[in-house]
Amino acid sequence: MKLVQTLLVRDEADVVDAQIAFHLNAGVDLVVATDNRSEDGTTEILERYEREGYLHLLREPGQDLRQTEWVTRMARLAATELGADWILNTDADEFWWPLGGDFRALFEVIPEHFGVVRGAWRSFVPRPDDDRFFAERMTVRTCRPEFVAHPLATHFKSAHRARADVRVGRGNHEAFAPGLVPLRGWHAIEVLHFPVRSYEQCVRKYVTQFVALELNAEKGIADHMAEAYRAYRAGRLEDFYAPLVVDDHALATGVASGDLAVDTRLRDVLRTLGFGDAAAPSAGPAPAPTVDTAAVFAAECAVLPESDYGLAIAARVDELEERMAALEARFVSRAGRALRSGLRR
Amino acid sequence: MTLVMTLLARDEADVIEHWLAFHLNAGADFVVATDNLSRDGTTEILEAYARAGHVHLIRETGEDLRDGEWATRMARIAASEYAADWVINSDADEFWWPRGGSLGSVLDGIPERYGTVSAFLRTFAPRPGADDDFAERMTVRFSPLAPIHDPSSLYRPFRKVIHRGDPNVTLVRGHHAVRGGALAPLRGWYPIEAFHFPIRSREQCARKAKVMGAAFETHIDRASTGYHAQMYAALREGTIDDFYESLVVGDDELREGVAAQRLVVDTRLRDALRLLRRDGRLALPGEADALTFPTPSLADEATYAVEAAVLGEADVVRLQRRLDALEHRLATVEQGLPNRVYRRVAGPARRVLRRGRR
Repeated sequence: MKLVQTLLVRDEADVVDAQIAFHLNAGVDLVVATDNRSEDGTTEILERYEREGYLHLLREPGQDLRQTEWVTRMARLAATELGADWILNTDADEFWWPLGGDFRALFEVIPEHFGVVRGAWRSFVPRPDDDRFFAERMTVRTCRPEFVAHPLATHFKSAHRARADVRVGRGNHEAFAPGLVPLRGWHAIEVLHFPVRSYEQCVRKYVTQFVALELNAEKGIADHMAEAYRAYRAGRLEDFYAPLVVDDHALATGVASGDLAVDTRLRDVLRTLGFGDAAAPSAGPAPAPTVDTAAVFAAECAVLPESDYGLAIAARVDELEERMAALEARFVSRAGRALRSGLRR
Repeated sequence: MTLVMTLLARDEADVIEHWLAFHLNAGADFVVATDNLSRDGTTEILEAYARAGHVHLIRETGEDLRDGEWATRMARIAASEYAADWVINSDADEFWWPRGGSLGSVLDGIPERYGTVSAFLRTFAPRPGADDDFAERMTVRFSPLAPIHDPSSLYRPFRKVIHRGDPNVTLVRGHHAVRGGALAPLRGWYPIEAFHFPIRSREQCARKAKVMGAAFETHIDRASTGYHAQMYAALREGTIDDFYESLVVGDDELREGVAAQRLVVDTRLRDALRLLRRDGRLALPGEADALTFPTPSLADEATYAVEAAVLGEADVVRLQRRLDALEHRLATVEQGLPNRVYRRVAGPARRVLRRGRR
């Protein structure tokens, strides 16, 4: 079983080395990366992995961030020329953590009939920036994400069987091909997500992407991205960024209420790979999930639209049936009154 | 965390002790039970557990199987008198199996903002033999790889709803759903499987057909569940034994079904109950080590996810049926049918009455 990861990047030098090392260590055999006009050292990191034989590098000079086209190209290349069996279409700020800790074991138990396995974002909140490595600082996750356009929202992601005719959907969330059936409703991969890491990165992310996306006529721009860009143009990007940052007081309150959780799993793995404070004492392997942690993850995934959508609709049908019964009862009693008065005449 | 289970039983002596012993050793703290006119020894078993302090026993003498009303009463008692944090409303043929931890601990981790969670009903098939212990014999369950849309099938994918203790809760639709002010559903996660043993022996099948059929025919204002109607029809036609035999999974069918992955040998309940056996009876809580429930393997999780996806598809078809019915009812009201019926009936009725007065 060959597992290939695709990665589209532009100026992600603060995370990209760790992202690739993490996934290669987690069972990914090869990375197919598209470098889109990076100028911050990202290119050199990718070239190093390429020289070592772990990465197939494409260079894309386009200014218009044709994400679906470029990621689809990588996923097809993985299927046709690079011998992939399964593919993860990742972003540089995502660290995919499979249920059970082993991608190979996970994909081996997926029935042949299904070609897409879902993951779900678990977003980490930005913490006060003290210039430390992002994974050393960002060890706090939000536990009440919503499915809305927001920097810390949740969304599903998809791993899929390699197919030469695959089309990767907008935002790399979905993979489409005839007969490529998603196993809906099961989120077997936690996608540890670090979308906003520092003020400087926030500028880079939202402003660069907004400008690039404006050049791409095919794609709409997410509301929060437009909001960030408007704030930037008005000189108020700090007003957009600051409310996202969780300081120590907000952390204590959030953990007590269950809205936030301390999660050092990525930090600890990356330390063992030589990132961050590698000299810190080893935390040992990440604890196995418990029924409690499974419940919290399930509660986050419950807001995703394909989570048991029948149940959501059933509540509305229940209500309609009640209203219908009340209407019928009024009708019958009115008819009864009319009949009685008619008979009295 | 206090978990209270409610139980509605009528002549379930072949399963009732298993039910009580299993759940009280699996993490349930207390049981509120309603005994409805049992005559087969069920009452005595419930009374013994009540005397031992594990059961609040209600006797309901109505013949009209007001299951929603009775289950609602028990669920409210569980909340108001026994401080239940969570309530599982059960029938005697349902055995609730937590996927890891215990019945209490899988519910305890659910964030406050959610008030209900679904359990996945998994139906076991009757097997040859009759007189022995049902759990020893019935170790074969149906595994849906695709939804069954036949409303009369015993094996349609179904859910049951578990809810936080709430003194104002109302159970609806054969207690498959609840209504209550702040009980937001946690969608898409099924931490408990409800093992379902609806048909267990020829004699029990005939008894159930009679009780359920008569109640649906005479007293219950919702449509009979498909297989209940079929059972009752078979009983009235004198073919109930044939009906039962048609459901029994023999050894040849089992081999074929397992190979085709539509049947699964599942001995989990049998094995748990074996651990509770003591001198011809089953252990009370404290008499045996509490049952433990292993976290499912990755392969189990994947299979379960496939079946849960099937449940979602089945739900959508059921919803379409309910919407069809709603449309029909709405059209009836919109067309003013009751008024037209009145106009058609009232005239002749008046004439008849006047003639009578003369």
